[in-house]
Amino acid sequence: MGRAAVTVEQNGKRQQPYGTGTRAQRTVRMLIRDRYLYFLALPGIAFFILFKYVPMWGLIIAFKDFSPYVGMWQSNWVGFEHFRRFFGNDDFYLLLRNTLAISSLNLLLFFPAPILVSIMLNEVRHRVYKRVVQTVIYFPHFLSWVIIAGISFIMLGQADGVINGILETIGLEKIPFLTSPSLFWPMLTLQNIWKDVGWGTIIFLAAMSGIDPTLYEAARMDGAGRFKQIFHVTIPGIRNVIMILFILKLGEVMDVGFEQVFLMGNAAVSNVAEVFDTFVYRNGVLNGEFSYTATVGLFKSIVGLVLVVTANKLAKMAGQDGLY
Amino acid sequence: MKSKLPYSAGKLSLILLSFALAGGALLSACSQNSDGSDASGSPSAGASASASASSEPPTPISIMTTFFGDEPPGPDNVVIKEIEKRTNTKLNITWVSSNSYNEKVNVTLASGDFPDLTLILDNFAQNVRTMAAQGAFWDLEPYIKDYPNLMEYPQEAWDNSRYQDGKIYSIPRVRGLDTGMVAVRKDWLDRLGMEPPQTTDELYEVMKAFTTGDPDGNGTADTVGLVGYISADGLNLGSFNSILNTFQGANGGWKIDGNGNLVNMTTDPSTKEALAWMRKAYEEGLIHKDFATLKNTQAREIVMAGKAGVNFEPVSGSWVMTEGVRKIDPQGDMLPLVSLTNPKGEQYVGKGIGYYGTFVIPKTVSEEKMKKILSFFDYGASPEGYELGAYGFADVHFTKDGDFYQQTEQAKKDIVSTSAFGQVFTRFNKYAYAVAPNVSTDYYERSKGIIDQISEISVSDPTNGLYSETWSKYRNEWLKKTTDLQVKIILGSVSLESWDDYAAKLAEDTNWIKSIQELNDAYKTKKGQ
Repeated sequence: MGRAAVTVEQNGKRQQPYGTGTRAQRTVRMLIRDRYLYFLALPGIAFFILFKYVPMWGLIIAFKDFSPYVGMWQSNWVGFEHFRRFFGNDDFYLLLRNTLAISSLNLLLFFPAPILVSIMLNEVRHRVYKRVVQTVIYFPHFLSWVIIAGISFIMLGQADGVINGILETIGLEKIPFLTSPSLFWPMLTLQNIWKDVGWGTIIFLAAMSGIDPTLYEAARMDGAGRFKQIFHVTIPGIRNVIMILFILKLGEVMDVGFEQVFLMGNAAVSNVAEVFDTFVYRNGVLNGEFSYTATVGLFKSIVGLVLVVTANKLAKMAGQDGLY
Repeated sequence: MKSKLPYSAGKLSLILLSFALAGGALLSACSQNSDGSDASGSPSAGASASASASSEPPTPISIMTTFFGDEPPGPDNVVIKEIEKRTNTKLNITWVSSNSYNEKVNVTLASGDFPDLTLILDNFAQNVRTMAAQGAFWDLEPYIKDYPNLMEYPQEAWDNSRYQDGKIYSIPRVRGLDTGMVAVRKDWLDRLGMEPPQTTDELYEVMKAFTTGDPDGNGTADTVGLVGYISADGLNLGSFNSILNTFQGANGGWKIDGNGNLVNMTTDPSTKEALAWMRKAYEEGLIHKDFATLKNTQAREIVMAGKAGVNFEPVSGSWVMTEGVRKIDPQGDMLPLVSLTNPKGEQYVGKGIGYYGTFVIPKTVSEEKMKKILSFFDYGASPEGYELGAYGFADVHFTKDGDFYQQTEQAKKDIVSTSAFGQVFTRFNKYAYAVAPNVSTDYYERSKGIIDQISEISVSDPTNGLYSETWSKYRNEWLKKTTDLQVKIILGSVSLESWDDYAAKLAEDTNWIKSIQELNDAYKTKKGQ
């Protein structure tokens, strides 16, 4: 209820719809008036407290030497020991570099891809053709990474891979796609684009359908061609959505998708394929070092939070609507 | 997925053992009963158990174990009813699917209230060690001597299940000790006029001939010598680990030196020799190009497709590969090798730990009941009890042909198999790895002979059951880095000399030195008991 009261206070301050008196009096009056609405909100609030806020206490194991048998409370406090070990580790910079590189490539190449595709789809006038294309490009989203990794191995293998087979028949050298460190990051980005470019268009197409058709009419009247219409009507029309999605994506910079990296990685490319998520898996899940990996997880979350908050501030300073 | 077990140092053996489990248990077409080994002891145990039935009320025993297949047997299963009658017990069995067994058992153990007989797959996991040290389980050593069928388990399996303090807190779920490690296409050797390789040098020549000599006689060079895989978790060389261990002459990379000290062979020159051998083989195209990205089953499939002639797999896997090969080449035959001799002249073949998972009895159970549980288990290790538990009633659930059991439709209907109650009742079978679904009699007999030879020379991992805090803390980081570098060296993407720097640096790492010291102390403590 504490959270609810705070919200109410803010509302009260702005609108002052509950008469005069001190803040607390207004709050109480308002709570009584809208009591049924607040009852309705209770299950939702309880859900968030129980399943989102309470588990956060588990983060204290990052500062303890956690052993499952003695339990979370009995485990010894060790202060910042795990953080020292993590930041002092030679691998820390490697993990950070790989994680940032993979997500920057995603932001740079994978993020704009659905925008481009949805603009193109938006220009298609043949309805049936548009629908068919949409359905076909949505489909890979529903494939699991295991299957995509399998397909990639079949396509890119050195001994019996399809692409290497083609290269060989046209007389070129075989390329070790799967074991070349330099090809690993681009391969991940391409897989991401192949898998999710269609799915990503949904939200942009929805935003485009919300653009007032009269704007296009007006643009045409002024003699704007197709490209002018795209640049001056379509893109400004979806700018807010792009901004919001971009900020959300920034919050995930530290999450590069465990399954994909883990499945595509192998010992030969490990110096570019080792990221925070695989590190947590290997040390936490396989080796039972829960405290140490909770530390890594906490670090990831803090970086994500800082990025989202900063990006939001910047967006607002630039005159855009932020996330909140 | 069994490979998600938190690995002990004897990880390879665990994997091998899990094959035995999957191979032997899943299809359960046959098994072997070492009759005549102790025909006198076991029926009497059964008889004594049933003799007491008339006077005492049945002992209730709760059991937690795993099963394979679609559904577990129910409480009114005919065979379980019969077992209850013969052992004078009332069983309450919690069957947990093998896919989620580890998680389930960890939660149950953490609650402190676990069944009278609880199967633990990784008996040296940190939480299990802690519980054992805190006295949560019965120390069984003083009692097991009184149970003749349990004493038929090989002493090594019991010893390997000992904890750091030298005590036996659990009953091993026995498996074969001698697993074998490598198989070679015998029919290809014959066609090329070669003998089965006995040394690593001969193996190299065989791989070369298999790659360039057109062993399948189809006129094109579409075969490769060796295929294998790297462990999916990236913590060891997977099937190539056997090559490393052969050169080191040490199972799991650990060896007892002349002074009785435990040494790790990673920093030994033999490791570099092994890497040089594999690097050269890869460069010359004798190893499958994609080995770094292959999985275990894919490597087998490449053999079955007749594309590769050598694969490091246990004896149980060699029949699976042979059966596959015969679909395209009826003469196909993957011959398990007894051992390989390294350039130093040491003959090497690894040995398993002799069990996969152990059963613990909680200390909360009274001594009297604990003894009853042991005699129940002892009955299950007798020829009669094991046959009943794993195969059911003769002529109803199975027919017997020599060593082989042929299961009937009724057995499937009643869920009687090694995948069900055969997960509770186990009996040691030296030739367990020779057993495989549909195995032909001559292949099986040959494998038995090979296992006999292996058992005379096989080398076990001396670190079984040892614990070091520093080692368990840093192990995965080291194993990962070591494996990464080794794979790169084999692929030729870094120089062979980079291994020298790495090994030198590792040997100087204070935590590495400390781990080895701690494991040595642990080894001496365990030996001293």
